[in-house]
Amino acid sequence: MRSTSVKLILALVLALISAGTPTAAPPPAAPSAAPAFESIGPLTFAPDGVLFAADTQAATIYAIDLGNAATGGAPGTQTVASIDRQIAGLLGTDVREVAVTDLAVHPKTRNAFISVMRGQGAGAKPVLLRVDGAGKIDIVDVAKLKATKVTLPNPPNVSGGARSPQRVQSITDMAYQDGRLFVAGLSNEEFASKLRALSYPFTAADNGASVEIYHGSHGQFETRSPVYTFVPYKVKGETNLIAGYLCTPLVKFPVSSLRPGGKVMGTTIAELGNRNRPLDMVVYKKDGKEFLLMSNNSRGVMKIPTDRFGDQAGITKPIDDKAGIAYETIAAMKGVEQLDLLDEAHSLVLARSDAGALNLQALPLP
Amino acid sequence: MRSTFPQLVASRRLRVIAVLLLFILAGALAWVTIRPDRPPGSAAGASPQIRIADERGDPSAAKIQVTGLAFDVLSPLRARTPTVDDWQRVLRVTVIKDEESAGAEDVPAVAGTYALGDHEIVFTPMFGLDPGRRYAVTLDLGGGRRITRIVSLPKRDVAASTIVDHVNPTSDVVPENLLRLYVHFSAPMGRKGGLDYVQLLDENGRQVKDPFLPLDAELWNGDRTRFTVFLDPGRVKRGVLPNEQMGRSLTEGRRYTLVVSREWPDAQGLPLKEEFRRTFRVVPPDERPLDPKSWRVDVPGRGTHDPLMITFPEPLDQGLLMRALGVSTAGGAAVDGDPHTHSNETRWAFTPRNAWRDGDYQIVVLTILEDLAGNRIGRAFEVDRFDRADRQETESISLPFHVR
Repeated sequence: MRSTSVKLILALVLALISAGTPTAAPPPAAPSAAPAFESIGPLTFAPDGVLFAADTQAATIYAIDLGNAATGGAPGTQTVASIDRQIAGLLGTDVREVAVTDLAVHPKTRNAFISVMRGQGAGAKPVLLRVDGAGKIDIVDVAKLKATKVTLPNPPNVSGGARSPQRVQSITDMAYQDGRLFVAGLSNEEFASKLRALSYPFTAADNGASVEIYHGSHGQFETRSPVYTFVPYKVKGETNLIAGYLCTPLVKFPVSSLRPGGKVMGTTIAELGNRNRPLDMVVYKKDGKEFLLMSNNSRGVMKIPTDRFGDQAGITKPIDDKAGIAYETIAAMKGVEQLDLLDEAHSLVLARSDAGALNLQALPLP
Repeated sequence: MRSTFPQLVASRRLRVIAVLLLFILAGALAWVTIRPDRPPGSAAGASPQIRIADERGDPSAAKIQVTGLAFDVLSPLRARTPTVDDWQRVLRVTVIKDEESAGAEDVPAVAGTYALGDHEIVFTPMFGLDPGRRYAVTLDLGGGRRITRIVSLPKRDVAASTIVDHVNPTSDVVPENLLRLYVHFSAPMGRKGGLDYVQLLDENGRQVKDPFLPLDAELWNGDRTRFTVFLDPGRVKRGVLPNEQMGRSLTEGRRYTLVVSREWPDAQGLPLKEEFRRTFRVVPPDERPLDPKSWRVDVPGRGTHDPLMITFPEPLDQGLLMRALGVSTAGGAAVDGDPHTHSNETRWAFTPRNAWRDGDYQIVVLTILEDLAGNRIGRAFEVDRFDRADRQETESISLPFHVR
């Protein structure tokens, strides 16, 4: 009898507690759940340490709270020789089965995060790795993390086919600034980049503004060439995107011009040379001046002063090879395939040696 | 009652024996208490067995099982919750690099989880084991005794079967300013590959230098059976630097052969069954925009499931034809059906799911539709767009038709 009363009282108390749970609190903008990557590609960090990771196959971007994965290692990033072999060993496979897709440095811990795909075809597995200040490589267990996500819409399809439309968008680069994530995407069939500005925190319905970017290099002809890499950068107080294209115009355009369905005309501020593909770019400060550091597949790493980005007249006439803002080639940075800023004085790179090994190296900023 | 001396001696002896027995019993009890989980029939001293447990026949779920372990080897792991380092001190699985010796120190241990049984450790690699790959399993038995065994799953004995099914454009004749090719495979392809496996040969069998656009993101459809190859538009477009320096990749009047190497790995990691070759002839560049007025529309009869057919004066881009053309009612509701391309992409046929009804319909054309040279409706690929860049473009146009 007594026991029944106690149970009753407990039940009542529990009911009261449940009733007292606040229900009026606004729901989160986008539901948070463990990321479910089909593939993993470009990475970029927000200043507070939120990691944006693109699933290129699913055209989805996850904003991941790294939790303990952000703080669990020794601060900084130690150089790791032949990191591709080290990663392959950790993942139980051969180096030829590992494709490194991006590198990003955590803004607070300065640990390096590396995205890779293990294996081939349908069986390929996405993996996120962390390299810490002791050079220890850890696999980040993303299944234990929380993330919000946004999925890019498919390109327009009016064919009305019974077969479900295939996702044919690819995410080529991302950058975050002031509550907005800029995403460059490429469709399978259209030879033009779509650029979206997504507000963050993601809202469930926000697919972002989509624009096609044109640039006016190579005489008076526009080309619909895809954007390879870009950074947000303030030019005379106005946020611009500085974008690198194939063969190798450097183009700026104001972020304010990104409107849904709009066409944006970029200004070509430099032609950096033919037969070349830009890979990665970062902005850094040295001796009170700012520079753009850009890695390329055939023309090495370029150091470009940003002080004339505002005043440089757009290049609209055919040129021989190079024009506009001049650059300096950094001989000490060879074979750079991935590039990010490690700290105020160093870059962190994944560089391919002449012998073919991929090394994770911290190099002084030039 | 008084005891006799011999009785006394006997009882003292008994007492000593009893005390000794007590000590032995206590010792045995203590031993059992300290090592309560020691199972009966311990196999101390037996040699451990290392094998791959692959019950499901699924390499991604394969495990490495070490059995017949002496109790002492496992005791450090029972003492507390072991860290990964604790486990790896006892059992370490590493990949044997091709053509190199086992157990090279610079290779990290394969990541995975460990589980402890009575006389065994089971290691589950995080990503399974690759068929045919050799793994070194090193077991530390304590006292400086280490054994290493090489294990591997059998190599998959599967014959290569994936082929290039076809390439769009399917026509044997292409314009000099051809912008893109679609390579269709009979089965999903691997992640590596792309342009490394595609070549363009001229009439003399010489390789055309850098004809394709090196994209960072390789363009595949969802199931990785269609690969898009862009001819470098810098070389396609007149007045653009690569074009001026190197000329177009294709030259009018000549023949070229597209070669897809047999070495291109499919999703199983196997090469293609055979090399693929397609020869085509190059005709003058196509620099005219698309003009829907020149399209012929064959309208089906009401009550039928006959296809609506559009015939174009030139081949259009197959990939875009499959999504940039559609049918809607006059009110704008999409009509469900299946599109197909025919006659070297000069025809688009749309078979409706439900029979056509008497009334007004429209063909919806997205302005992204292009021909083989990237020309769009009302806008050629070569057009100078400088002065019109800010103009808002129409996303689609519609062509009305009537079913009766």
